[in-house]
Amino acid sequence: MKIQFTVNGQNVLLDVNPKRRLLDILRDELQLIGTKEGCGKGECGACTVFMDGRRVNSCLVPALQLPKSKIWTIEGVEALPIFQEIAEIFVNQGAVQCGFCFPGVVMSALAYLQEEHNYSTKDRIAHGMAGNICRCTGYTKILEVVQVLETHKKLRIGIEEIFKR
Amino acid sequence: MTDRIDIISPVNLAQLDHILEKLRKPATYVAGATDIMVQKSRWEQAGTLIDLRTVQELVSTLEIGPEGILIGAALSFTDIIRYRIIQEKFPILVESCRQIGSVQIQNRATLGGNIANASPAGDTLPVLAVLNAELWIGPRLKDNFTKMSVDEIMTGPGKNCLQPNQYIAYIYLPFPEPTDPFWYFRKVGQRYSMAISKLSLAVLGWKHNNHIREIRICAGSVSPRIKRAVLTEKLLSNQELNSKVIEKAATQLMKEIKPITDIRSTHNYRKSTAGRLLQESLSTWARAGK
Amino acid sequence: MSEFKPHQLAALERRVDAAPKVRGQVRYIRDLKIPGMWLGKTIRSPYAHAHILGIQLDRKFDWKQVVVVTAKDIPVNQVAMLENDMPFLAEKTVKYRGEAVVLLAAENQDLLNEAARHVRIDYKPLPAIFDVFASQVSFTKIFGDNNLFKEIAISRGNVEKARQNSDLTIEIETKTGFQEHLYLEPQGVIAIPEGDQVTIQGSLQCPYYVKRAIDNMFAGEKRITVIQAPTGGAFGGKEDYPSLLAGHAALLAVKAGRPLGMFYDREEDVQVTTKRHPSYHQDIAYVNKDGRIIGVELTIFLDGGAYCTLSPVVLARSALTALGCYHVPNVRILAKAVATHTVPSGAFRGFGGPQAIFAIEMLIEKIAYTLNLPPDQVRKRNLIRKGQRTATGQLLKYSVSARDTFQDVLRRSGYKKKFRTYQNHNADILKYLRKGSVSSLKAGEKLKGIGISVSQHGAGFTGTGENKINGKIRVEILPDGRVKIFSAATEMGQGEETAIRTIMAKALGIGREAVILSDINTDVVPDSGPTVASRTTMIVGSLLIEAAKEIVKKVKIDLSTKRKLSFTYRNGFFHNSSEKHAFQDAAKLSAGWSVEKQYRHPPIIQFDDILWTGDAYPVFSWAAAVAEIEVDPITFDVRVSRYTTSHDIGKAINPDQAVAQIQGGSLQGIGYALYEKIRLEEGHFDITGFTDYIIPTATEMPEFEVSLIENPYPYGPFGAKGLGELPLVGAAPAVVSALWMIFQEEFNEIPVLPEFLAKIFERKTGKNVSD
Repeated sequence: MKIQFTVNGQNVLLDVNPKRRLLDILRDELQLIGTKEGCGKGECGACTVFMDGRRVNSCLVPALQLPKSKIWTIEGVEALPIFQEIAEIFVNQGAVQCGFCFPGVVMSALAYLQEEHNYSTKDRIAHGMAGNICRCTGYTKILEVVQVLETHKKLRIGIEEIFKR
Repeated sequence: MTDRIDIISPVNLAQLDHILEKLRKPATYVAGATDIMVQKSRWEQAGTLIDLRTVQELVSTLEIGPEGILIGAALSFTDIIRYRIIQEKFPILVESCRQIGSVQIQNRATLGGNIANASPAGDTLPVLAVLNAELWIGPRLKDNFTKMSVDEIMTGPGKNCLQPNQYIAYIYLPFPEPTDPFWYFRKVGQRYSMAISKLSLAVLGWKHNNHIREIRICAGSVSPRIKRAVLTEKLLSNQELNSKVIEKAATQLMKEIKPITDIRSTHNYRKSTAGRLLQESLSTWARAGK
Repeated sequence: MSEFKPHQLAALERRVDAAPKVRGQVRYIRDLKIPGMWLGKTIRSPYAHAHILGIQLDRKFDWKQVVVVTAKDIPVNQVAMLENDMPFLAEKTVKYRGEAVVLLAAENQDLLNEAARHVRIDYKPLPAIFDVFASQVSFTKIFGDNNLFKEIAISRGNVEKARQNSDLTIEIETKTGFQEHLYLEPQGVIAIPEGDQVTIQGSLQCPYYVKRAIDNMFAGEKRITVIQAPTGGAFGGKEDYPSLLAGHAALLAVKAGRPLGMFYDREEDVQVTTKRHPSYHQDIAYVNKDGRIIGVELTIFLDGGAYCTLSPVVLARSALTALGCYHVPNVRILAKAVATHTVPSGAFRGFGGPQAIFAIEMLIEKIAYTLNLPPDQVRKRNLIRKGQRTATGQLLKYSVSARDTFQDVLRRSGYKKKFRTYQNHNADILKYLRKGSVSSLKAGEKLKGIGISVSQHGAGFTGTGENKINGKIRVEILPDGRVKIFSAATEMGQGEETAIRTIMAKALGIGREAVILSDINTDVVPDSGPTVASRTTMIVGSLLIEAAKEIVKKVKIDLSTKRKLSFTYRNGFFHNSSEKHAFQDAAKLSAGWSVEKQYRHPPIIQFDDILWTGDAYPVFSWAAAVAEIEVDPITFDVRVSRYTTSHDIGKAINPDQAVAQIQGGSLQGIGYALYEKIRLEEGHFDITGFTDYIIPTATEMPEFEVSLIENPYPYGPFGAKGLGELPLVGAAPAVVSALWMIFQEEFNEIPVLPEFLAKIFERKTGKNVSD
């Protein structure tokens, strides 16, 4: 099946098995290996990417639903100038350990900030980030990063821009 | 080695119905794909896939009439959660949608899929049952959808009564009348998020002069099919809520459900917890009335 | 987290590996693209115990495009570990469900799956044993002549006399379940053959374990290089298992004559890789009415599974930890690791410690409730202090913080006051629950509990282990004056790279950017010992400190010779009254010079591993924890709302990441207590991944209140002891202690699920809901 869609703002034209997972297309066809597979069943969130402005588990998106869609991966996001400051906050907060869940965590955190327009409670952030399982950190520092980002007006506006692309 | 796979991506209902009329082989419907892609062998074997997400009416239409609302079956849970009329009229549905999987899943999974999968643990099913949801099944015959209720469509765990060429087009929800009923929904999982339900309870009720005028009760994950607890409902109607009535109702509910022991929980726990959930809901309602 | 805490970390606290991880730029094993690489697949036994009658390849299938390996292809079919009982592939008998029998390799997954359908293995099923007590008396032999992998007896004082002199005897039986590591990155190894050389790359903790196993498998006929790929979490799960997996990959790679990748998906990973040893404890305490314990008899059984793997050393740590943080003069400990027909149990963060600490802490709870004393008071009365001796007679000479950590969590959590307040708060709720009537409860009302635990973890290998390993490191001065560390210590998320470079930088008084680390490649780095047992910072770190001293000495000599002046070294500079040279400039003079250091315990540390007496560990790390929990009286869901813990790890090399480790490890321990359940059905684990093996998500995270207490270890780098495992060890008993407090019931088994709690009241109300 021939499909046309965009990844990180670039046009992509591929001939693939329609049942192929977006995750495999990203990793095997497009060499975008920043996106990780932790479970293959939409449970761990390591493969989180943006599809048409929303976060999804790329292991549960079949190729047949990709035509005309807009996909963003960690590679696209981390290359944006605004990400420098975001990355800095993650590093400074000591939020990462083994790093395998992290491409998904970062994508999810950014999506959360775009979904929630107000300053949110701890519980709400926890619920919003519950789709990204991490076995190393105990989550505290990851949620602290989200709280720090939430109060950062300039970054929030920048993050919302990503989702308009 | 995959054999030839046919992909059908109809643009509208007319086209979908037309295709189904001619289709001579079994087809697999794909909406949010969050369930079918996890069922590896079913997914691998599917030879003809029909993408419901491309059907314009099923994803973009939310028709609102004076009596109720018609929800496209391939709308995602996120779409439903964010829809203002649903937030206002059906907060119980919003609550059940919010408790499904993660946001990543809610962004893809659909109400139609939750129904068609017919899992006794399907989070929205008890809620749809108490909302008296009507399922509009395509293809249309002489311009009419086939209509059925949630407990009719489900024939057993993972089984529905749809023919291979049938699909869920819309979920019709009548506006609760009179307005502002009492509602309660609680899902009991193995953790606070990202869990498959061990048990859930949905309650919708109206009072008149301190007496229960109408009450609808449905528990999830307690029987192979989703069924309203009609005997418990009957016991409660026209009653004034006090602790004695509440306890009697709980005992009745525990008799009425037939949960099993499986990997997620036990018969005993499901049964006694269902009783406590009902007590919690009714006592909350009793207090709210005061 | 009531308020966010934006950090401005000190430069040395920032992790060296954080930025590329945040940007998704780290290349884990599955991310490597190796030209011409085939994939491997394992065909496994569906039986827990069976004879293999034959293996048939369907003749109608085209086998030319597939490589098949069976036991017959293996030069030495033993995975070299403590005992060489485990084969790479079963030949005549399978001993657990999921044991590997046949390996296949092909160009792609579809072809592999198709080929697998054309392999027929005939079995004759045999009776299988899944119970450690049945195993010990069974005529079916799994290991040796008594199905015991190891038996340990520790004795001190006179238990019989203690019994006679005590006011009463208190007994408890405790039980802990399997635990799965569930590292986010599944197991994966790539093997690349080139002539007589085989290069292994993988997600692993211990490159030299793998090297030895593969060397042995090929009977020394191949040259083996092992390279650690960035590793996405391990927790002990990548300590022993990668030796088996790498063997499989190497066998297929050599036979296929091309690179070969073995990558487990999540389901295969959780079903066949090692788990934490389930345990059974029978504990007896002889106590006085004031709560003082004058004697204990502790019996431990660990379920080792079908093969020995690391069970004897896990058992040793369990036995040596069995007394917890208490001083008891009369002790008898009997510990056995028993074989059963289940997946071999293996290393998991804590390594026998969590089971032991859970058992002893529950014994303490039982003493408190039997004597009607506050649980903190019983602990306080018996806590060990400096100058006292452990069960093995080890004299604790330094760095003992059982009391300090205990007092610290009591104070910071407000334990005593909350204990009373919560008891009052719960009284009515419990009354309603006993009556079976919850309609009188206020909406959202919860039972509140507070529990406490004290725990310890011996840093480094048990007993004489370190002296047998003799870990080595090498440090070289580069042409540009930077120093390069060659060590086999691995990064798996715990922050090893950051810690090691920080220690070296601090020891030399230079910037961390001037210290670099070699890739972890067995051709290049010496064997520093495995990255396990919370030993790396302490052991490898202490070698770095020694190396740093020699580097300074060497550079000073070279500089003095050249300048014909004498220098002193301070804060990164060689100087005298007339000159000042930065380390890196001066070090260029010594470019190419390197120093190797090998570890020996300080000579004062002596252990007898036949009598089990002496210094079981060079030093212990100490922790105490207070868990505050809420139990929903409707669903009996338990939520840990706040978790206050104090850790004495000597000295934190990186305080921020020490806290991060403690948060993560504690949550893993909370999961062990409340969520993580594996049922065994005819030797089959009923879990497939994240859906049915429930680990905490962000919504299960309590508010963490972590503090570090400094009590330096005189032989550790800057006083540092071990940290990695300790945070997990005391979490489960703290949580369960809070359940004792609420329900005034005996809790002796983890995980504690809501189903169990609900049963308490079904029993009490006399209402039989089971029809």
